[in-house]
Amino acid sequence: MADETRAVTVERLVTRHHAEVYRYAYRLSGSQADAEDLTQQAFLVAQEKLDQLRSEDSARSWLFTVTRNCFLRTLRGHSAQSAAAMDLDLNQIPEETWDDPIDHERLQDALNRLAPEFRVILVMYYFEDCSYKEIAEKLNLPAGTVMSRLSRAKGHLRRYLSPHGTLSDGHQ
Amino acid sequence: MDKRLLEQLEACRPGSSDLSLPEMSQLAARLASDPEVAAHAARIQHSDAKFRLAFQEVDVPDDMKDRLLQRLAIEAKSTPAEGPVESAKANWRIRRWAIAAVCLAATIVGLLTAWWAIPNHPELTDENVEQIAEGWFLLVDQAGTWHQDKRVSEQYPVSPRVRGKVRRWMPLPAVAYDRDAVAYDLTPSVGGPRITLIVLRAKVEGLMNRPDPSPPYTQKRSISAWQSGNLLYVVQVEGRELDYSRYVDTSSPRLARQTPRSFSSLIAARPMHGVIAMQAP
Repeated sequence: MADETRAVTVERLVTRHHAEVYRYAYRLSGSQADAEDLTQQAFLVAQEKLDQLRSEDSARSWLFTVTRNCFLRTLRGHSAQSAAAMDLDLNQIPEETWDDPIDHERLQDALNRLAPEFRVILVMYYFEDCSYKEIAEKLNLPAGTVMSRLSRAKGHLRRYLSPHGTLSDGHQ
Repeated sequence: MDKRLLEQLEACRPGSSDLSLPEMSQLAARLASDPEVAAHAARIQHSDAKFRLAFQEVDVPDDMKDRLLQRLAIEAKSTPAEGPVESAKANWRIRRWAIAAVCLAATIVGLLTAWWAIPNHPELTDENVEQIAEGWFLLVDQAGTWHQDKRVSEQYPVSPRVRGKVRRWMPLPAVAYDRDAVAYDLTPSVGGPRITLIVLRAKVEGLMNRPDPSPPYTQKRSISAWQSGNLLYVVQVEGRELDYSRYVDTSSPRLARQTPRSFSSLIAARPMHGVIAMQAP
């Protein structure tokens, strides 16, 4: 009976949230293959730790957290890129607005050029709609660090995706 | 505009109450009094709104849900039963570990008993090799005690013949001849074939030094064994028949010095001289 309860709940989670989790994983990992792997890992962990989910209302956020943690675990052992290595001009306020649609491949390309510690914050901000305080809490970072990284990462995106803007390679 | 105010401006989400936070009071005052800053803020919010939408626009593979459910079902089968979600955590863990321990112990005892019951056990024949290899994979399925840390043992290295990254591993204590082995899960992706590699420090005389190019395909799986130095590798690919050749490199070694004998040909020819010589770990 317990197994049945668990199976139904996991199935429901997959049915309701697989698309969002995949999209989230794609923005984090940067490729379809990696996103599929990450999504699979996240749901396997979810299946294993289902007892940690207090209610289904918080399932979406919980699954994002699980996915993010899986992603961050895959980065262990990779050399972390320091903020200083992101040679970005802080003064990135756009001088004009642009109305052309955003090219999705180019958006992902811009994200992939960011160091993971910047990319994660950006995805949490835009995808999860987290405030800088929530990001700081979830990542266990000082709020000032989150603000600084968010500002730099947003500047990078705008510069890369602006119709008139270009970004040379090496800005990871 | 100084750095701190700019960072605060960037952190305010469109349509939120972020600007009303006490720590944002200086920024709020500046926005109210400086039209130029207000115009900058509007441009940032405009681009933020576009990014927010664009971040969500990712095509999801059509069969993603089905493949996930399939993979979870396979995983659930190989994982010991767990307690109800709402039960106390401590009880749940104790019960889970107890069931896993009993299953593992029963399986090991059963396999060892079966093994020692076979007469002339040191001889490797077409029949008992296949039985033994299948028993190991059965043990892996039933034990379900995977370690998730993707570690690869130096003593039991993964064969480069099998394409794929280690997802998890499982120790197989005293799996054959009182020798330890390690199982690696090399399953490539959601819904793909399930690939399990078992590594044992043992030497099988006459076994070829590469995986069988065309092993028997039964019950939707292919099993092949080969020798590499003092290591015996056995891979099981569960999926379509073609998956085996996709994920297992069966090409001949460049410097092969003797005519290899395939695992399946050993079975077909029913040889009498296959003898496993165990190597000290």
